[in-house]
Amino acid sequence: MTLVKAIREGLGGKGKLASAIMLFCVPLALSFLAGSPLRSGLHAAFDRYPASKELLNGGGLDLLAETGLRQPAFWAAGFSLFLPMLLFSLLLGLWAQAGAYSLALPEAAENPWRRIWPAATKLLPKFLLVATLNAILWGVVAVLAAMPFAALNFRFKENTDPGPGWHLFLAEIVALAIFWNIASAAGGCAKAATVLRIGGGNVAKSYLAGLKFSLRKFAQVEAMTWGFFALRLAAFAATVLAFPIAVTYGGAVMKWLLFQMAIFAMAFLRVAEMRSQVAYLAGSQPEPAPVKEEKAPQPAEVEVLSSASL
Amino acid sequence: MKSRSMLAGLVLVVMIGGAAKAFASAPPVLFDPPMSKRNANYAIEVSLDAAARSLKGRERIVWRNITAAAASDAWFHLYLNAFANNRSDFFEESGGRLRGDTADRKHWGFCQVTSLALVNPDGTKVPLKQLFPGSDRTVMRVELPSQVPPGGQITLDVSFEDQLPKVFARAGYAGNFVMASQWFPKLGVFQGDKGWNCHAYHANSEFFSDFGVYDVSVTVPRNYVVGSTGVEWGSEEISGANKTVHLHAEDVHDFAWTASPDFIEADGTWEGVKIRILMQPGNKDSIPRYMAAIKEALGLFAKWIWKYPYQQITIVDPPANGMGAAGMEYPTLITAGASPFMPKSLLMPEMVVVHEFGHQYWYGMEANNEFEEAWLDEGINSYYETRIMDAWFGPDNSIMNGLCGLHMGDVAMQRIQYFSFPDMDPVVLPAWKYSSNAAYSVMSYSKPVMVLKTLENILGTQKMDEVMRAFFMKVKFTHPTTDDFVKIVSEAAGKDLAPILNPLLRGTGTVDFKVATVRNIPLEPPSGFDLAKEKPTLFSKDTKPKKGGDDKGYRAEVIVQRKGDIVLPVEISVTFSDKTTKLETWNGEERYVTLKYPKKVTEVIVDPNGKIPLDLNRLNNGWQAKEDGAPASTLALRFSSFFETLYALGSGLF
Repeated sequence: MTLVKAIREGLGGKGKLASAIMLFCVPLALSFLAGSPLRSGLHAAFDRYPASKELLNGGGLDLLAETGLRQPAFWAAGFSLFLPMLLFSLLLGLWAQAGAYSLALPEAAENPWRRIWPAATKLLPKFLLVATLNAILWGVVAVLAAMPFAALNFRFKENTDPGPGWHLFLAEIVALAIFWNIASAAGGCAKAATVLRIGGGNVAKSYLAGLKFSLRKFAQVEAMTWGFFALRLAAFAATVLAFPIAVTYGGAVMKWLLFQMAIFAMAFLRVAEMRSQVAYLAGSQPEPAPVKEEKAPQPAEVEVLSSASL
Repeated sequence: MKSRSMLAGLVLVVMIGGAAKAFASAPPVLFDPPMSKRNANYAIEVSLDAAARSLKGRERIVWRNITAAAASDAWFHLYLNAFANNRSDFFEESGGRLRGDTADRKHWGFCQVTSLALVNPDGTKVPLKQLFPGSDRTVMRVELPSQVPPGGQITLDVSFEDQLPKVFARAGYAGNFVMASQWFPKLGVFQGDKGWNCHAYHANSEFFSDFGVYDVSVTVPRNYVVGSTGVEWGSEEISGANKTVHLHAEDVHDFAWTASPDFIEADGTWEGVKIRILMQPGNKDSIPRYMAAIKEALGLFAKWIWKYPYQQITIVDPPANGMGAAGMEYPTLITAGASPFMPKSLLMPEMVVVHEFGHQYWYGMEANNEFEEAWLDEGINSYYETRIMDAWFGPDNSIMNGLCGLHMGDVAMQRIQYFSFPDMDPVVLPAWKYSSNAAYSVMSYSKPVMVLKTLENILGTQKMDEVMRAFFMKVKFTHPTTDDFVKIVSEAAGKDLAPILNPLLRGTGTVDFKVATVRNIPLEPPSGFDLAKEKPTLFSKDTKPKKGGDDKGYRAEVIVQRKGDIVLPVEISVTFSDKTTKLETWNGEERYVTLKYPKKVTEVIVDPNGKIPLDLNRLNNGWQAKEDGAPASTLALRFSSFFETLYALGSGLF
């Protein structure tokens, strides 16, 4: 199968909406939960005081600092759920991905809303294993790849001119992005292989098959990953960077809604990428060898005895 | 070590020979008549051994006693000895960490006087014995063979050797960058009957010296670019790979120079003042930022205080591994600090240039004792830093100008620093006596900004400018004290400001106004006997309460409390349910004031125009009847989006 055809299949087909909504809801729900203590703390701290109007337009940072100094527990309490939810996002994200990948199979396209929950739950342990294997493998590669950079960094620490250090930093950022996408593509292909049961249901075998595929079709897989990554980044940047900070509550709500649209667009693109991976991997599998039609053994001619002959 | 000394000796001989040739043409006369008393004058010849990072020099000091008392000894600062070991006062106080930098304990520094003699009028020399009165060797004293009477003058010849430390606090080297500051044996300040003011080099203190003329010849490798206090008036190549640069400064009280083969030079001018920027190659993109900042500062200081009188200002950009040298002031030379990572919306490079240039006035010309009253230069200068940055970028954007949609003014930043240590120490205190480095910083920089900003708001900006200009013009090229400041600004303001300034500068009291109570009390219909009647009669049951304004049947009582000890007049804005607003003024003398109104109050704001940035808690300055959740909700939405971004990353959406 060609890459273009795989992407076309990824962008088309049924069940995308359910998957996208599921992916979209994970960060939204977690941010809502994690933000609850902060939200109530901020209301308690500021609602009665006219000076807090400065906070509307991105100012009043001294008021925030003042609040933290006066109530040392203010920010700690406000951010108390932030880290647990961040860890939880890893797990919940995998669960949502499992649902989305499972809906990428053609036979799962019908009744997506009914299928996605049990499929996600059923696939989660396998996806956890895939993610762990991927993290270990690429973690080791990352450490090895970072060694020359670390040595360079150490050299630049003593450098009088910040210029080369700055260029090195930029190079590190680019390298990190490339590395991130390679690891992400490998993980994605491994998840697709798991869903497709390449490896006969053995997760390690599926992982290896996915990894091998991502390396064998490196250019195509990377092109697909980078393409979708760039689109997602553009959607994100369009709302975060293109719109200035809102100076009224209404404006902030509008900006928040735009931000949600961007996150949803990212979720949709992520689902399309997953489905493209599944389609590309499935389409690149060797066709099963045609089974030679063996002549069925002819039953020995049995003399049919008619009852009459008995 | 021996061969290194021999080489250095050879270099010195060659240098002196070269210097003799250079001295054939005289340095320029920059100011005639002199701007200062010029009683401490230095002629110095110094050579840099770039490989050893050491200096070898000799100086001739001509000192005149300008006090009414005779001097029987002379005291010197040997500042570099603060970096000689971990037993110096500087090290013990700082623990080897200062201004965000950490000392490199493998590369120490020192300043050693190798010979010292009094030069008689006939040219003969009397060797003088070095004595070290302090706990470390940052201060040296010599007894003079005879007293120097008032108006008398002595000449001293001093030879010295410096080992430069790796840059940690202001002076030293970083790679092939050299920052030679506090590098030569330097006289303290003779204060007549009080003797010599010559403190040890403390971690939290800066410097104090008399004005004079400096003629300095610096020998460095030929490929080094040299920047310095004053102006360069000659340069010559000498044998080997070295050159000697001749430098001259008048009416200054210190001399610093820098050298590096890597500097990129950028020149500019502002109304006849030469601007010279010595930049690290990697930071060259920040040259326009430095240039714009220095021009802005030159212009506004000329407008508000006095036109910068010197011929040149040099801005030095230290390298990334020498940031301990950054953000420092010397006469006509300042060090700034840039980084390729610095976003344009974060105005730190501009702020540092503006601040350090401001020191040309508050330290350079108003030469207070930084050891004992650091606020007089750091505090006043920080105030002017906020004024210039606010005038340039606007008061709400003068530090953070839209970084990720956020903005913050310089005063707000100073305020954040101030209220972290508002009452541990007074502002006026010798630098080494503060409870901590942070307290020194707050009391010398941030609190004075709050005090002066409050004074500006009390007097009005125009009057404040007149007052500060009067202070500067009266004390320039002298050593003013806090008492001088209070006296002169009171005279210029036309009212005694001591009751306001002394508690703020010499005490630890704070300012905190609070809206303590707001009560909207429903009026009851009158009941009981109506004594206005001829015969006491019970009020009729259907008598209605008197109506007040648009609001029916309410009276209001507002109590504003002064929680801090500092007494300041304050404005109180009271808004009523009929949308009218009344601005009250309270002298703040009592602990609280009760305000009564015949109608319902919907909002009370103490200090509505933010005239008292000293107020420690701005949130309790206001009260509103109707809760307004919009600011908190807006902020919560922003945090929520931030959380969501990270959770999207965690859940694999990126």
